[in-house]
Amino acid sequence: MIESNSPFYDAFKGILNTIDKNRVQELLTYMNTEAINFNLFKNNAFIERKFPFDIIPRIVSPSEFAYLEKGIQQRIYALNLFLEDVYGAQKILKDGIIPSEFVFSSKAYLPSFANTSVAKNIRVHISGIDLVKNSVGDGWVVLEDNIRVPSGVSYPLSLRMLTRKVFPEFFEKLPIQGVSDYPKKLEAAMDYVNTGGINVILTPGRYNSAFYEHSYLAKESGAILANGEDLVVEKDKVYLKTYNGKKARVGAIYRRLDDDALDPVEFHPDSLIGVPNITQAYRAGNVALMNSIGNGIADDKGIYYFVPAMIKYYMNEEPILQNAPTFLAFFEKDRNHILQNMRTLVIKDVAEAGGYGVVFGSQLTKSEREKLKDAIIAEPRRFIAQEVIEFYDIECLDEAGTFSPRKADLRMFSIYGEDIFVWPGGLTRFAMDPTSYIVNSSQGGGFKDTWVLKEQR
Amino acid sequence: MKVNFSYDFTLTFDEPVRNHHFCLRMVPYTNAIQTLLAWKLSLNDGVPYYETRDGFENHLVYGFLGKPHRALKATIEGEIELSPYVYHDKEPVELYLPHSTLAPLCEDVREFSRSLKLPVTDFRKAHFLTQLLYEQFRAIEEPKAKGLETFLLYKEGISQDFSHLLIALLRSNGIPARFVNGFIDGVNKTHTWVEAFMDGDWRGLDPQSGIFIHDEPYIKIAHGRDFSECQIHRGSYIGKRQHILEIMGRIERNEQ
Amino acid sequence: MILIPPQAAEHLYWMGRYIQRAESMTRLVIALFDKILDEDFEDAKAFYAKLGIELAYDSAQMFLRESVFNLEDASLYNTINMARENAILTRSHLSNRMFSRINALYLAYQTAKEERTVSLYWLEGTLKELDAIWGNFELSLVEAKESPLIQLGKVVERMDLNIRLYDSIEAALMDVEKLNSIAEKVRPNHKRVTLSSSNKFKTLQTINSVFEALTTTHES
Repeated sequence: MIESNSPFYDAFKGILNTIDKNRVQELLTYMNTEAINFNLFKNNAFIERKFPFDIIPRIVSPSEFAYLEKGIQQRIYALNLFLEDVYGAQKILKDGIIPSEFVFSSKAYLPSFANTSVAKNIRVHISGIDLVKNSVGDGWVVLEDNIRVPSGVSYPLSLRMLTRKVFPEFFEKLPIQGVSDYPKKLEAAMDYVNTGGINVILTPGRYNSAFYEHSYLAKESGAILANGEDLVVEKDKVYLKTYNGKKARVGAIYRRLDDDALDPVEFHPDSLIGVPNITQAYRAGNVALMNSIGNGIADDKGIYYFVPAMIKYYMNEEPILQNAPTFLAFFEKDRNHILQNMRTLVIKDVAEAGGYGVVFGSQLTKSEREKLKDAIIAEPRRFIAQEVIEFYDIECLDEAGTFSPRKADLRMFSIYGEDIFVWPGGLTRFAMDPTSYIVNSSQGGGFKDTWVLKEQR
Repeated sequence: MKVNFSYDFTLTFDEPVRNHHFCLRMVPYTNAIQTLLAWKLSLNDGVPYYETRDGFENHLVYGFLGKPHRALKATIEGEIELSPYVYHDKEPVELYLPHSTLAPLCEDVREFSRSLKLPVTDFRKAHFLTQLLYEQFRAIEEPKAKGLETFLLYKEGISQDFSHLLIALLRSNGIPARFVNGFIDGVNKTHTWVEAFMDGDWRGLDPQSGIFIHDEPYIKIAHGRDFSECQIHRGSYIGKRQHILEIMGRIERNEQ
Repeated sequence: MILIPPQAAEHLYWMGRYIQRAESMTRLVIALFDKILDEDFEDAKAFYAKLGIELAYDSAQMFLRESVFNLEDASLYNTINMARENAILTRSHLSNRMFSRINALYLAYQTAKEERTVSLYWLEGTLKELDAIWGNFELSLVEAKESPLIQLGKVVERMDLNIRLYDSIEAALMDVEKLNSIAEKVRPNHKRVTLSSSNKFKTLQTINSVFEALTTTHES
């Protein structure tokens, strides 16, 4: 279903009808020439893939953005406080708001990093909150908080840059908020937590799916793009090696590696892309890592359930943004509900990411359903279930020039520096298949730009 | 009781390695029953080291040895005040209830557990299990742990295996348990034991010797949910992986 | 301090080398094409044989296809691919224009390879593109700190090819001054490179070890 009564979208379409859509070709050529792509491995072969995009943007009205901005700021603020707490005094557990067993049995909780203080008490520097707009009641619903290593910001950023060149009409006629200051905000946030030294973006390397983004952000934010091998811990500090043998002290690292790969001394000993002993320098407070180590506990699919409670607990405020109605198999009452309503629920394995481990109960055969029931009973902590949200479609324009609706979500990015900056743009992902609800790029979804409109003078 | 201690750690490589970043847990823990009064650590060739603490409050010593070397040697000497092994600390005990990777509640542990007739109170259960491990399992000298499944099958393993099995059994009986790395006098390998939380206190259990530790001189270095969180040495280096770890702990009663 | 990590420096250097190699190879193929038509049909075979590469063709057109697309490592296509690969790896150090020019050239070759179309006219277009890449690079301020590394690659490759392709140590020697002035920017107070004109093999070795000598990092 497409959201009706949207004057901004009507205005967009009015303009779209007057312009030559064949110019999309020009956009494609641009994208190709700029090598705006993502990498993937298929059948053991490395493939550079163009990120499939659609020129019709999601349009967000000024009042809607103001609401989302407030809601996201509140959410990020609470998640950050939760992480500070859960790796510190653990008040929220002692006060019984979240069952401590729930946190302690999670693989994402890293007790060996408890009591590590982080620069400026910020742990959630970069976040990507995934939302959908519910076609029932028109409300925005948060599906997932991504506060470990969220990616995707470069795609709408690059698409915007190109769309402005190819289709200036929209930017002339519609009051679209600019998005190009994202890298500058990132730079400011890095400077803010920097413990002395240069800023670095740490990439897993050329073969990572988001390597383009790493390069792009480094270039635009003035940070140095480095591989693990380029960094070294000397004494108790981190340095960037340079080709002529000199070393530059590093004060902040926007790392695009998972915790597991970050340090072979501390985590996975076989990681070749990490920096040995970087975690010790971090524990000693000699370098800021963005995001902090151990954030996984806060974007755990199970902890998600408790985010509204966190907001109330830490901030004494009502949550602005709603969660999808969620049931935790961990609680007996919820578990019974799940087991009795398998057909109407989406069941998620909390250990999986990227749209994997998501099962629609309605699509299971009887025996599959029974098998899943057994798994839930055996390991209740591992599963959550959510009611299926009928979220809005957005139109896509295909090569033949026809409009067709696709399910679409919205990832909104924010940067926590001196304050929490919610980027007035976003990555709108859509399902390639008209019947699908899964929009993840790793599962073949495409993306759109997100235009946030300004109040018109 | 005041004791003097010394602890030698030697990691020997078959072939020289280089670019060795290391992180050692070898400075004794400080808590209510163990106060480190004085200590001095030296590494081979005067390699400098730096200190920090992990989330368990384990003392970490880290550094870098770049040039090719066949061994990493470290010696710590010092004086420590020990009290009877009953204490509590600020860590949440619930952290030590869920099963962990090296002390899992696998089918074999479940089955073993079902075959036992356990006494009623936590205290007696812990006592019973500690004794049982001592009587039914054999300690062997090998560099690597067997893992619980093999340990249960052949009924022999190293100190680590004893501790992990006891931890898994305690936890599955609702008793929080943590893994301890440390040393006792004259034992030339890492000694590990278990702390179990009962009646408001942590108590030491040594399943390899079958004892409830009371005022025996056990010096604790580090603890964690299992071995993976309190290894004596972790490192990354260029060279072949083969190495031997030798350890010698000495504890002497300080009569003054 | 010049904030370029060791690996990035190496990629910048190799990018310079591959762009230069693409240019020299293009010129060579054009020259050999003429020779095949006008002088000696076997000439290109003999020339590639000197480089240890076996090249088979039964027409001038086939020679073009083979040398441009099909020779594994030595094809022009592969050379441009390698230039582009190094550009991808160092993209955060390059101006957008520099990067997209190299990438566009690669994409054009990729399409041409799929369609198996190549002509002398096309190769002349490649030369123009390469000129534009170098020109762009000379004018750009973005790559100021990277520029000496890329230039080093360029001059080393040119010297190397002058010796290997044309047996001309003399031509290579004419670049020594330039090499030294670039090396000075890469690493101030470096040891000057001197070449003797007698031994071809030794000269090649010296030229090809310049980058390594300038960028040796000391593990402490």
